[in-house]
Amino acid sequence: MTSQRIEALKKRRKEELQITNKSNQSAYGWWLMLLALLFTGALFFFESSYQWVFPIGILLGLTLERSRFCFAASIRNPLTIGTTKLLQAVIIALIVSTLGFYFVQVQTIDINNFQISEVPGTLKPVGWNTVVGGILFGIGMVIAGGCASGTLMRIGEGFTLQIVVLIAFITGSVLAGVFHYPFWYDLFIEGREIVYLPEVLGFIPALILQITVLGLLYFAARRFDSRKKI
Amino acid sequence: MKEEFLDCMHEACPIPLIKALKKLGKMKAGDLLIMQTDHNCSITNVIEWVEKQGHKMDYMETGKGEWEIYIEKVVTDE
Repeated sequence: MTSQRIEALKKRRKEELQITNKSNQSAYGWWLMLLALLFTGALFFFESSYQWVFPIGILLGLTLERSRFCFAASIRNPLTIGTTKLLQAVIIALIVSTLGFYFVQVQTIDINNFQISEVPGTLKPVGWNTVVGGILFGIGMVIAGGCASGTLMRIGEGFTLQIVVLIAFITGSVLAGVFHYPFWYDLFIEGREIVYLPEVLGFIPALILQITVLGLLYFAARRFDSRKKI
Repeated sequence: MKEEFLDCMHEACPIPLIKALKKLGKMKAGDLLIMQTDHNCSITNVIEWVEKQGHKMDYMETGKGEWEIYIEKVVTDE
């Protein structure tokens, strides 16, 4: 919501900063889009297994950037300034992906007779390693100013400060994969059982339970959106 | 009716928002705050918070990927 003084201020600043016609970057945009299309075409032509991943990734990145979405802010904002709009958006995204994965999974496997290893998606055992990993990631993401998706889309938009973050998380992942992931795997994950809700409860009850819990969390987030000043 | 500048260029989330919070806390009703930032996540954050507090605001892109956010403080903290 703007006001008369702010409108006047905007006009004044426009003159002061001499913003007439900012140099147009559209040309770069069109060329890059052409390159992306050609690359996608090449991926399809050579029937690479990444043929859908690349264009969908580009579209997701555009969506994240235009809507100014931020996973890090969705978790951080409720705790620092009490706003939950982004958290509500993330919960909605989780509900949509629950439904999506439900459809993908029931189409792929025989729901009465399946092995967990056949189910599309990443299913791993949960444990204290998950908690500690989450805490470490949370600390890192607030200091870095974003998590992986936010950093990548901001670098794409032009905010090059976060290239440091990109280098850091590539280095970290490579070091982990090469050196110490097998150690943690053997210590915490090896031999533990994977709890997969649809196996325990059945597909439809698991779906209803998850969507109900997420829905309740969504409404709780709406209520929590504090009206008081922080 | 003072005008304050706040330079948050090249700062990552959540620094611009925290700086704006502190600066606005010290300002009186009717003062204007001009915030310069180049982080698009801050725009969503700051705008959301400012509107909730009841202040008036608008923003403008002043360069490639740089924005200025204008906030007029409407309510004084008790």
